[in-house]
Amino acid sequence: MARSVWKGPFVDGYLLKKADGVRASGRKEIIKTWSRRSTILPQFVGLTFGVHNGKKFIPVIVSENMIGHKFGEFSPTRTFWGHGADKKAKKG
Amino acid sequence: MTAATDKLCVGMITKAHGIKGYVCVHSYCENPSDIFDYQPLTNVAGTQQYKLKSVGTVRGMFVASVNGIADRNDAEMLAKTELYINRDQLPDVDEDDTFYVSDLAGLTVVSETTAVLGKIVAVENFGAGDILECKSDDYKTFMIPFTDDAIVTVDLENDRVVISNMAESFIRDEGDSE
Repeated sequence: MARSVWKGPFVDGYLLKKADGVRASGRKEIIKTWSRRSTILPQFVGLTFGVHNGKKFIPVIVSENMIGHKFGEFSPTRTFWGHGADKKAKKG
Repeated sequence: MTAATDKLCVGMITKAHGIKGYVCVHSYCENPSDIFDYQPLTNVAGTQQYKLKSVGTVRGMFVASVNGIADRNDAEMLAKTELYINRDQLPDVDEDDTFYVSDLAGLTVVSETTAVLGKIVAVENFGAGDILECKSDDYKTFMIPFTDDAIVTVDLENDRVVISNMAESFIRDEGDSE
């Protein structure tokens, strides 16, 4: 069953506080968090989080189309060994 | 680039298909049908050359004919053969700040103070941008976002990637508490 709308999105308070601090200071920093359950809010757009997957921190660069998803969705806990082949990576 | 990365695995012949000597091909390419543009393909040692021609698809895999293979018995001999190309068969990247993953793998990661931190082992994308997966000399794995803020330069000529102080501090205090 979906979460009741009147409650609003769930975010851990300490994460919100930390993100607000980084945003206010304007310094470039990767915010480390274990809070995989927190929802991505509009004020997180542009920030980079290090989301723990149980072993290490996976960098998550928050963009607009990630709003409403949970941090854990972008930090997989299982290893996938793919093939590089002709795949490209863009620095952005 | 090292000799080990000169060959790239672009797919695999999985099994024989039908009685005409066709094979099923699993492509690892970004655009799967591109595997037929990289001709000829070779085995891992480079001793055998294969020219594949697509004849259809079955359950998400390509069905292809192979030059010189005319019956099922010969096709079965090719099952589980990995298909390789040479790095120079790939077209040049025409966009700025875009790199082949195979070019980035194996580069040394250094800080702005030229301290060696490790080597890139893979480039991942879990839906939130490209990430460099690196391994230090003590086999510790760490991740760096592939962004302008974290990466200062990608120096393919000197086989190294220079990361910013921000990325370095992210790696260093791994056990930081909330």
